Amino acid sequence: MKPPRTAAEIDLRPFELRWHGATVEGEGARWWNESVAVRNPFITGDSTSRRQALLVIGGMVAVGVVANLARCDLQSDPQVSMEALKVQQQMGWNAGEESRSLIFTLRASPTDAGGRQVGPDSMTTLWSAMRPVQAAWVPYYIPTLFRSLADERSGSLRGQMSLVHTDAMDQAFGRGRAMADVFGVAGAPDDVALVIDLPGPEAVALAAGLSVRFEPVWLFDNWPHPLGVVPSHLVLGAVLYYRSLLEESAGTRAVSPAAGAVDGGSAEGAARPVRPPPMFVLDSNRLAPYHDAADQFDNRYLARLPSAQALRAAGYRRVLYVRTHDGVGAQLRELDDLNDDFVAYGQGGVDVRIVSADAFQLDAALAPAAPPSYVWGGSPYLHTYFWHSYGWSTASPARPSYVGLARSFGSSAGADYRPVARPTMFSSRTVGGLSGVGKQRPSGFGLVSVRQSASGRITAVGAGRSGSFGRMGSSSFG
Amino acid sequence: MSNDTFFGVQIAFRRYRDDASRARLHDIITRSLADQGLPEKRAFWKNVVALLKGNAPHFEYGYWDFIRGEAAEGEFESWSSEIEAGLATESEEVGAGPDEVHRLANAIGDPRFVIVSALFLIDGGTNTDRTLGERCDLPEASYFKQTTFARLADSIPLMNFANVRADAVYVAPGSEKDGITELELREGWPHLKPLER
Repeated sequence: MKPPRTAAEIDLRPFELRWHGATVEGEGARWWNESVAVRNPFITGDSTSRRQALLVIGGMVAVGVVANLARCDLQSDPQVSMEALKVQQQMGWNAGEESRSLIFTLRASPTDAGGRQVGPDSMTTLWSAMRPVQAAWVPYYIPTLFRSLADERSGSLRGQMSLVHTDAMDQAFGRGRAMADVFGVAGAPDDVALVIDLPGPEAVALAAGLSVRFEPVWLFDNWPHPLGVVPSHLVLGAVLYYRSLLEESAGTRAVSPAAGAVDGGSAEGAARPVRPPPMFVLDSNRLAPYHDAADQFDNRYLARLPSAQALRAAGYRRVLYVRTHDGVGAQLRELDDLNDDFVAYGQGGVDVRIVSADAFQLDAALAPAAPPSYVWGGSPYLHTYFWHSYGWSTASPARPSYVGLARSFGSSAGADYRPVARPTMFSSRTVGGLSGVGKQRPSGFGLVSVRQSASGRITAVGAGRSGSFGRMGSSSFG
Repeated sequence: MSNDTFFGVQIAFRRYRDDASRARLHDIITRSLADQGLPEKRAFWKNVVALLKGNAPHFEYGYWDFIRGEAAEGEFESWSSEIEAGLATESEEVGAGPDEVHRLANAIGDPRFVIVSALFLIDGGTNTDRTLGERCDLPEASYFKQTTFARLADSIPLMNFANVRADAVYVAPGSEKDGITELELREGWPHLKPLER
């Protein structure tokens, strides 16, 4: 242990090295100017009293940094906030809660959507199986959640996983199929990308329904945790349930000339295989409410979408954002972390509209014994005029009376939406009256408290940011 | 209430074949590990900035923040702890073969980015604080331009380091062999924004 420096030494070389690290990931160093502490009126005398006074002051203002200062004096490692995902990637998926189990609040299924058993290989290979087929979308694919199943320390996670299959997922799947059908009606534009933003399992189910026509680009950027704010294990269970169906769709979709048909284009266009458009799939629970609590692990995360420039470069000038109404009378709008993105889309020449997933309703005209079929507005006639209601149809309206009805229904189901900048906790901010650039992730978001040794190794994990610590054994590190 | 100011900047520049920038940064950091006096600190940052400025035409992604008041110290702690955690690879991982993500990344893009982070916690109300504030007071449209990041880098040697409470520098990757692809950059540093030329 390095002995405390004298006042003379500090005056001569005030910057004291507090951290240095060098790995294949990178290297760096951090210093602290001890002479600033000398100027503090609470501190007098030799270096020992200065250090003690720092402990008192630091206890009031900044636990993390002062704990660092006190490293030599305290028997415990300093407490810092760290990104939850980084902690899990270092400590294992259930960091700090190894004795707890996941709670599956949704119905489990013994077999997948194809009626087959799912083995461990389906879990460890999920992240590579879900990679987009088109190379253009691979950079935007976020395999983080799927890779949690492949981690060598995730044996207990794989052991606890269940396939998730619920009635709400069946409804979402049917709505996805109906939405895919809308893209096959006359006048459907061929430059629309989808952004699906529903509660995880329903988002997966809707995407599975749409997968006959759209290429899924999964954006699940966290790991599950027994105390996770975001119940991502349910998302994993849903993806595992639909995995075989999604893979089958990928095989047929890749050679489908569907878009050639939907754009009403030439025979040449209809005959050649075309690129399926992308659908970016998000879990709306990523921003679930969280209050710093000892029984919650903040595994929330932010959406990451391609820029308007990237979408336009790939030929997509429109985005249809799929949400559900949050409540009766509630206005449809994007989740807070997407506001900047959507406003930028508008400014970058990409039109954004919302479609409410629950605007696709059971076809009321079907006989009671017929299998359930969803159509937009609950009517096959309105369904046909979906694109007219959004003003995106490339075909002339044939039945003005239906167009009028469709527009009326569409206006309440998201067709009138336009992105408007609004203050959110993720907005850029100005601090202290000067221009400044806010980090997209606000302070405290997706962080947990850990104790960290001088080498950067995590020695304890707290559930909340200020929660109690569960001491981690060094055996975790091998 | 804290009266500090946080200033942080991250720059990702493209690294071309045989470029020695990363190795030179490594040398600068390694040679400056000991406790530092004010002249040494100033010389250290002048060297870092000179190297950065030499790569200014290749700045492609970046991020910066300037925060005054009680949030400043927490911001310094947040940035530094997150970056340091990312560098805290356990010894048994070092030297192991690349995992599948790295293989995928390398298949998609050449490893060719270097990311440099510079963080400062400054005494509020000092000349250094005022100077930095003036230099960071930019129109919003300029926030993410290549020239802005060159200007921000130029601001560092203007500091009186007697007013600097804490500073930190980080470089990624950590070896000449490893490189950061554009895919890895987007996934690992999603907050970095493309810079306008």
